[in-house]
Amino acid sequence: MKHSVIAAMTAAMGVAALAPMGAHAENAETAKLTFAPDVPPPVARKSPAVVRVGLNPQEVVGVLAPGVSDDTRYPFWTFNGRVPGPFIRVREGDTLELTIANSASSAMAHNVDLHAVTGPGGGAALTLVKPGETKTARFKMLKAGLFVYHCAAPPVTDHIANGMYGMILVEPPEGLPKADKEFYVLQSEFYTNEDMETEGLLSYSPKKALAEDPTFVVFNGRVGSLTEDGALQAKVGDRVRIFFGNIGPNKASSFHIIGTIFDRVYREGGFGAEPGRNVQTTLVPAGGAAVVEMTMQVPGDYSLVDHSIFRMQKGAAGTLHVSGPDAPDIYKQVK
Amino acid sequence: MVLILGLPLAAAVGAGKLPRDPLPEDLGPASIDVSGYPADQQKAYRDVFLPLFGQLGETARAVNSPVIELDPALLAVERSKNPALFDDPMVARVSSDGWKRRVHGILNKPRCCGSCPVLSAKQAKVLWRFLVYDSIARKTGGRAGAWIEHRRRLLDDFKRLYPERFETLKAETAGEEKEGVR
Repeated sequence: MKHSVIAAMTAAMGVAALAPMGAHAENAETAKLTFAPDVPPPVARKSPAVVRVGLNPQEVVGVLAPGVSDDTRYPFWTFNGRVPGPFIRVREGDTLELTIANSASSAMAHNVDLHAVTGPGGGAALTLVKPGETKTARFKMLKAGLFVYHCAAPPVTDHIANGMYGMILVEPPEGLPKADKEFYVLQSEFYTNEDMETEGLLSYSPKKALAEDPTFVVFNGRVGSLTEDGALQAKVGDRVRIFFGNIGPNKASSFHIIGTIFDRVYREGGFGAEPGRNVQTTLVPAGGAAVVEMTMQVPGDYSLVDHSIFRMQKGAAGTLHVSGPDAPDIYKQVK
Repeated sequence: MVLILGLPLAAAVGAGKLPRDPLPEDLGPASIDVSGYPADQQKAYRDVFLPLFGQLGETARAVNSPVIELDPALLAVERSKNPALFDDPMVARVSSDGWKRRVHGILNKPRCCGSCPVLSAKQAKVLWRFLVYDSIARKTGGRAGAWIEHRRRLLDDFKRLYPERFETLKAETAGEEKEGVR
């Protein structure tokens, strides 16, 4: 049995045991969170539950780009120590119980605006925590879709630009069709006083952010996160689903995977409409998302790009490696 | 006239067709005698330097580049021993990060279908170490005089073959110097 299932069961049993006499015992579990590019398993429950999630703001210095004599590092503001923050997976009808704990050593206040939440600030107003504070709030997941979340503490611009974001998937009541591989990819920009070739510790440039002139445009928080050892892996015949988000903070993304045609695209992350079929490139606004699906038919390396193509040179490039037998009836050299 | 003069020279150095926007470096040799280099640097030359710049069609450009990268302490020593290396940025561009920045530039070039060789992050470190080692070995210390002479010869040939382009490059270099780009 997987640890996540054990954790979920334990949490559910604990809550049932503590429920007061006569009160309706709620079905509760602790969410299994994953970091990009991993995605938690589909929700197996048939009935709604209270799903507990912990988001902890942390300021950490991490690698923004690999260097040649030294890595290029950046003082990120994060949820749970990573950029992007964890992927949360729930189902329509669930209640998200969100606890946000801001450590005493934090330099500033933080909160969370989840685009999946209905209510003022997407929950930001209920979750604003000063250094040393902890708050918990509950939000009913009313609508299925793929959503971004981000810190919205003032100034919201800087909290997003420095790395405080992630994604939450609200599955439709019947769940999503089975996929062989699911991946979490989130595009974002970084604005630095130094140029892209500078190694060592970089610093945030509000001036460049205001001018919407990013130094870096990256997938999953750093240059090269999805290349070489980090490349996404699939096999010929796999149905691949990518949960793609774009937090900006400024630019829209023209998401494309070179050499593929998306079988299905849930545009702007909504599951309420029929998906687009046979789509080459999908436009994902800042603060938006899309779910793309494709069945891999030919082995090889496929590049994930923002087709505003010069952004590849700013870091927006990834690889999906597909292994398996050649498919000469589809793709072959003749001469 | 320029092309007639240019082709035999290019052929003589084994460079074949010159790039569309030629540089003085293109007129020089396209290989380095690395027989005296440490084994790991010989391997870097063979496994990374030659395949990469060969694919880019820029081997001579790298071999004859004016870039010299020295850490700040060595740079100060070199400045006192060989001040002539610092006189003309067209001859030598000495800095503490010249190769590093150029390797980053190559590393950041987009990769598309995966069929062309691309520089991995690991190879980038190997390439950078080789370029730094090689430029110290061939262009500084007791070899500085020979290097300056070699560069001046390339510049003279280039000026004769491409006078307008030479003036453009000279102005660009002066502009970069003014901005502190080495």
